[in-house]
Amino acid sequence: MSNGAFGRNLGASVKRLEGRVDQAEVERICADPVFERVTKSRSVWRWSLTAAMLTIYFGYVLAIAYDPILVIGRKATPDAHLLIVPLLMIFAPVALTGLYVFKANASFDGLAASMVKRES
Amino acid sequence: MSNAAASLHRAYAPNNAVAIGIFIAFVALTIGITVWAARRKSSLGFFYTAGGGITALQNGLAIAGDYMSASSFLGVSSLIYTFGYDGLLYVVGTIAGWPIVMFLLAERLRNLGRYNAADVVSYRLGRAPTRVVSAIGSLVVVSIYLVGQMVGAGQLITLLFGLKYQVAVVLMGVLMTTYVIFGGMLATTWVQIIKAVLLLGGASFMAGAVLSQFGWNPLALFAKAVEVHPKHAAIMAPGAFVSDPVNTISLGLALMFGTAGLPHILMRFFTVKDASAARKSVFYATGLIGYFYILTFIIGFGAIVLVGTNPEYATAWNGSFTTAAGLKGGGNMPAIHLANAIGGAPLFGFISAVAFATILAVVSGLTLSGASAISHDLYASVLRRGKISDGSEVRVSKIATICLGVLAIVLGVVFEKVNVAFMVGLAFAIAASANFPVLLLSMYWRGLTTKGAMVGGWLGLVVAFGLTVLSPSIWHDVLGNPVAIFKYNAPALFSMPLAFVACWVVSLLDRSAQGRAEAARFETQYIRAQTGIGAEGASAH
Repeated sequence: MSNGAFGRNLGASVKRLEGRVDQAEVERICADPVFERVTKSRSVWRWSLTAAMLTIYFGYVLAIAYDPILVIGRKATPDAHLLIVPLLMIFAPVALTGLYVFKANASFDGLAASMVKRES
Repeated sequence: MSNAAASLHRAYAPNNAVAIGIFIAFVALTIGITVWAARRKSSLGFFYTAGGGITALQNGLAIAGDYMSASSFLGVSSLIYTFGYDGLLYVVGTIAGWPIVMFLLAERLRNLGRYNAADVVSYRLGRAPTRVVSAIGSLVVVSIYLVGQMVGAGQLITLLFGLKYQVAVVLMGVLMTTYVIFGGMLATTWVQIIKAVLLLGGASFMAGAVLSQFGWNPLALFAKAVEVHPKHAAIMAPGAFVSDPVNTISLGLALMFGTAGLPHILMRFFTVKDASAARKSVFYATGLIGYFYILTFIIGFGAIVLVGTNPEYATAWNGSFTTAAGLKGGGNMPAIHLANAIGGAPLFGFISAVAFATILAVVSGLTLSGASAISHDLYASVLRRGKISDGSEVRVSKIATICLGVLAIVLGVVFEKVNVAFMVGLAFAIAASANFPVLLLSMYWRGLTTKGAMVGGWLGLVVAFGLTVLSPSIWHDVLGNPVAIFKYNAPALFSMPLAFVACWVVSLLDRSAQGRAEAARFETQYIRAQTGIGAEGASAH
């Protein structure tokens, strides 16, 4: 890991903390404003996107199971256009994971690096 | 050899030379890679995780390769061939699990663990009990998945190459053990990458060839499929799954969260250099798997038109359309026959060889993760309490690999008649009920204690397994009882929430000093999970 001097110091702190719990040290790191911002923002993204995926998937499964009209429509004979829905269901996970990678690369990693830089 | 196998073997006898030639080339190449990998330094980290030196794209390909098993290629194309739209529901469920793996697990696993997911669970919890429950959960999932793959491989080789079933299973066992023992994770990863590229290439070619016959217009393909399929327009809408909503949802849960508990998949996050690469590799894998399923989708519909209506592929031609079960070689064959229909002997040989290579690569990854559960968790961490040199742990893991190879061969022979798709479904249900809840709570809930993790993990494992035994597909179909005690085939809707609730309730009731100390260690774990500082880096190699 090459996190600079801060990384080494914090790494040493974490190693120490693994042996005995030093509440002051933990509180110092947790209270760091950038640490707080990164963890909070990442947590919001992580759980919102998880909720989005669960809603999309189980919304689809429940619709098929209990109210197929929502998926099939009212046409007497189904046609190939209905296949758009499962195709979108295959596309959704790719889009959501792509979004998270984009956000993490653009923001979380940069913020974490700035925290390292500032402290070192 | 069964009659179906004999007739298929006769039908394709002149073409086998291509399949055998390509397969031998694949084995020669992968053995070459194993020799190359074996020459690198043979440390413990190298054996389990290729020294953390795999790139995000390579890892994405390997993860996709682990996931694109023969059951997803041959099985899913066969489901689409039979049910049309309903076959896609299965696909949608399996791919929906990947975002969960990325958002909740990938980064934290990489930051907290060293070699496998049990490292993460035991980070702040009691070492011995949590290692044991994680290792047993992993071993059960690995064994069941392994049996499914071995049986599938045995049947396929019997059909395609005319070997005896037992010979085919032994050949698989010997090859996978060789890759793992001599090449460790590096060779296993490269076998998986090569196979993923071959499979994606072969499937892309097939899908392209199918579409080219319909003027590159998918709607023309679907229109023709509706015309020739005996279910006609019904293949364009969900049907069979609507009949039992509870079972559908339960299966959906297992597919979605089972991915997040498969030990051979989770182990791959330790082969990259940091959390950022772990996250990117899931994105690559999800994209590749999505692309692969779209190809499978075209292949399934292509087979309806080009295989179902061709008397050449039917055991008994009825004049209009051959069902999957009526195909030469049986229900898993639509994609294989389609290769022959569009590309003749060379493509048939290529796709057959790739299907075999697929299973071989998947069982190698499974074996390595099973071996790490035995050597790293049970032997080194629990039995020897961590007081063991890296060299002897590598030795133990190689012995464990040989034992798993023998076990896989024996189980593969004993369970020759088992339903492959059922075994894979069971492995997912147990992974979702036993491994996933404990792993997730250990990282996200400070209140989880060792006692809670143990009760939840064991309960999830036992209940998922028990309900499966009592389900119609075992209690009625296999054991021959008149009525199944548990009426659903998919247990996850019941066993997974039960495991979560058990973890929660038992942890809340746990007032021990040990429990308080474990909760107090949560912040340290949290800091490391968030920043990666203190995490195992990539070793130079």
